[in-house]
Amino acid sequence: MARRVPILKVENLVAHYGEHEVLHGVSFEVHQDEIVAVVGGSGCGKSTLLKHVIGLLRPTSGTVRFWGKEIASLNEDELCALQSRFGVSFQSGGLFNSMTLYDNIALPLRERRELSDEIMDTIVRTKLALVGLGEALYQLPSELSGGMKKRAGFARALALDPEIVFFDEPSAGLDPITAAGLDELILRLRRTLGITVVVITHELDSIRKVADRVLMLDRGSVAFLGLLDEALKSVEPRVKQFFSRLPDETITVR
Amino acid sequence: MGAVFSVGTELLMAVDLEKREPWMIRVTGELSEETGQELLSMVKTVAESGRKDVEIEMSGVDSADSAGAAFLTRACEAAALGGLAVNVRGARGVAAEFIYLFEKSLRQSHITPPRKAGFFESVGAWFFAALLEAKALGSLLVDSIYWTFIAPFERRGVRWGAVWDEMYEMGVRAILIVYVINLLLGFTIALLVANQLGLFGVSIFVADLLAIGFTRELAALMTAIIIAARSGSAIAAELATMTVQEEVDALKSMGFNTTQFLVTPKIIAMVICMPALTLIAMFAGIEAGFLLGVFHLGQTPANWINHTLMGLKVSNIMLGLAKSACYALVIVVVGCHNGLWVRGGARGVGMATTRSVVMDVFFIIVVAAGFSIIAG
Repeated sequence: MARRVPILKVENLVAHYGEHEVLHGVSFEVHQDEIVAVVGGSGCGKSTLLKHVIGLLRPTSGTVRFWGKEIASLNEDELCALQSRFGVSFQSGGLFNSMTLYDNIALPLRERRELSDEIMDTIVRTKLALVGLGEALYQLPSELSGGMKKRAGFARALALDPEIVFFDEPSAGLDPITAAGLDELILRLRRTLGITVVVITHELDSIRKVADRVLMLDRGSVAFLGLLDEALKSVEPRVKQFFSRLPDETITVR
Repeated sequence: MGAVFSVGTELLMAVDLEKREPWMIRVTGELSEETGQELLSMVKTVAESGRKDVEIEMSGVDSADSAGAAFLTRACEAAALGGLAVNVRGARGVAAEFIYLFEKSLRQSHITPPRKAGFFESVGAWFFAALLEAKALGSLLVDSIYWTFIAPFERRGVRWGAVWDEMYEMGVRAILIVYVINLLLGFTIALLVANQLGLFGVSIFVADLLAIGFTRELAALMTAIIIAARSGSAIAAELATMTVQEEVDALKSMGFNTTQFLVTPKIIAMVICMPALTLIAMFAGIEAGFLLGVFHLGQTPANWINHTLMGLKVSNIMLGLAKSACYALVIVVVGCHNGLWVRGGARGVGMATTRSVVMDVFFIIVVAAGFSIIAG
């Protein structure tokens, strides 16, 4: 990584659900062109972190900065403009069930950019074909399998050529071939478009393949933040346990 | 070097139209929406000029985005249509990879939008869909009747806890609205009729009319319509959401019968509550007449009550209550049917709810008409 510009800088993020503190002061940075994997056991606050970072939830304290701008200080229009610079692919796709895949992908293009129908058509077809859904253009999300929905959500996140993309569990529930294809796609998009990627996952194979750096959360705190190789070699018990897939003595509710 | 069309940075925008072979369009900088647009129009210009070939020189491109790549693709297509041979060359690095990725993906996607059905085709499709749905509705009705009225006597369980909850939710909590609306309806009808009968000096017969009207028809009908709007829609929305979220499938997979588990408690609760609510509605309507007669028409309370009692017949009350029990069955079965029949996600749930209320009102009126024909 030649350029070391932090695109995203999260400092001391504390978040509550009601009385319950979910994140206890999480800090990290994401730089241009890098792929950061956010990992950790179920319920450790990964998805909550994502929702705070993309501005869906407001943190109790702490700051989230994109390109130096703190999102809590932005007004609605500025936040909107900022949000169109990043793409988010949600865990279950987040597709609009009443629209065909085509319209799902076309929606952000129609609303955010003034393109002729022809060009938009080309872009929509390409994005869907990129994720292997070129044949399913005019189907409704309810007619698709879970994995296809996920891939379509992926395509929609890429619709506006975002500079940074957040993937929440991109490969969970996908067959290994498709999952590997998505990993490949992430790498390729980074190489060709210079997209920065934050991927929330617990697929070890996927982490090994795509991640430059790893942020590991454990019970709402940062357990590890560093390069992938360091994570793999770490002797920190929690990190070691995660990467060598060792079970807890009992499955604890967390 | 022939005519060079340069696209990209402003410095290179100068267009040199030397008529030497071959013409070339040079793209530099970023292949984006703007440069893509220029590229497309230049290719069209070249095609219109009657030339047979053009080169698109990409060696100066360092990056590309989707819109730019889409314009390039369109430019090639436009050229092909205009009989112009295009040679794209020199693309390098990430831009080349992106354009390659883009075009390769696009080639895999040539699905055309589904054809719109013709008139007869859609009528036929509608007819068969209606037939299929009528079958589903019919079998749910039969199933519901079995699980509600027969199965409990075969020692197959009813979830009484759920029945209790539903009775509170659909019955007790509806008392006030049923009472108020029937009171207002009573006032409206009493006033309407009193003005006409007053012309003949017999406005006291308003008391008889309200007693007969509310016990026989109006109380049951009005209550049914209120409950259809209030609980029928809620039933449809609840079951539709459960269906969409695969809760119904989960129930089935655990060996529960959906009719027994979801529909029966609602039917029992509703069949008990509706007649009770209808009794309240009857009372409200008649009470409205009494208040109007005594305070507005100047009749004595005793005379009014006397005439009311002349109008009240047990057979009419029983007919009203029997109707309301049938309406209850209609509301629950229609609501559940629409809930279980849902297609699609959030929008489907909304549509199921709407359809449920519309079908409720329709079938309630049909049942009312049926009763009128049978009971004379």
